Amino acid sequence: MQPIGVIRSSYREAKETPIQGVFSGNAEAHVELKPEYAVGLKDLDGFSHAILIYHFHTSESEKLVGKPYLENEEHGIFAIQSPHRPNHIGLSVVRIMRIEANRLYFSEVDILDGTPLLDIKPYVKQFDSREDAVSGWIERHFENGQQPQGVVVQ
Amino acid sequence: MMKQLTIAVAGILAVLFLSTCWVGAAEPEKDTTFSVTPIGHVQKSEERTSIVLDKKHEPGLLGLEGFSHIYVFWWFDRNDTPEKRAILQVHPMGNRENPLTGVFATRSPMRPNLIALTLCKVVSAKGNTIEIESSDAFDDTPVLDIKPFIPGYDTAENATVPEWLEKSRKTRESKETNTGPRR
Repeated sequence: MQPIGVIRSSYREAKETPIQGVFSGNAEAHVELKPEYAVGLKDLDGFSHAILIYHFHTSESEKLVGKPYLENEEHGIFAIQSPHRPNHIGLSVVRIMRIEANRLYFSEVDILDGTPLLDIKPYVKQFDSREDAVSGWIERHFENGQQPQGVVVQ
Repeated sequence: MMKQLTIAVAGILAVLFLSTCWVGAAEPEKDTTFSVTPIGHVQKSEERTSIVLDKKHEPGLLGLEGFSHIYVFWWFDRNDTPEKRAILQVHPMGNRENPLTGVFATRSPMRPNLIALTLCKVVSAKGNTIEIESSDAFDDTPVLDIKPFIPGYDTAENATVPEWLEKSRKTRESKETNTGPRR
């Protein structure tokens, strides 16, 4: 695979990057597509959100178990969202701000500057959300409406 | 093995193809090329759909059974040709009545990097096999990754979609009783 573009954000290091985009406030970033792909963005501005699929390019390791940021217990790599995974594919749901030529500006950012972008998909809530979802080991960190501490990757 | 080879070869072809038309500032992170290797495959029968991981990845499923839904990343292997991967606009859902739309504004299997993404309901997870409720992936489709679905992180509550999609979705739903993941 070759990246279709690159993500430009204000986060230069993993330790200052929010663990999830919903924690990043109004910070804005943008995707810079290779110019020949700009036609592929046609009508994406009709959606409020997009899914960015990218390469965790700074991860040099591939693990099968890992400790998530929320706790000290080990879980399978496919049960956590760690970047140190087979194929190093990352996913973020972002809010589309505007599109200018080959640039897609977005907020709700949790992606490192310089991250190679592999794909963009429109976010469709009928496909991409489930009201009855149960979230395994993570549930206990959200009990009684609490928001987990430590919103930045350690 | 053949699958890995196919993806790698197609990747190389795509690079050769794309590098001929890529004229931009040469930045290292933009020009990186890498290959993906399937972690397993879809196994489909009339009764059930399962994801069977390669044995060596089985430890990665520890704790997955606690999640009701997972994101599954597949590879649209049937479209893995340089010609198809060069298509950047489509009529969504193969319906000419839907306006010509950029592939990045659709879930079409036509796209430069053939990554498919489906949110799937987990029926069971045992050993190296995850049975899922339904999927539009074909039998033997290569699987690249699985991530736990976490509402609140991966969901946008007030998300809106364009009118054409609302319309065709409603038409489609009225024709079908099965409302599993579609693209």
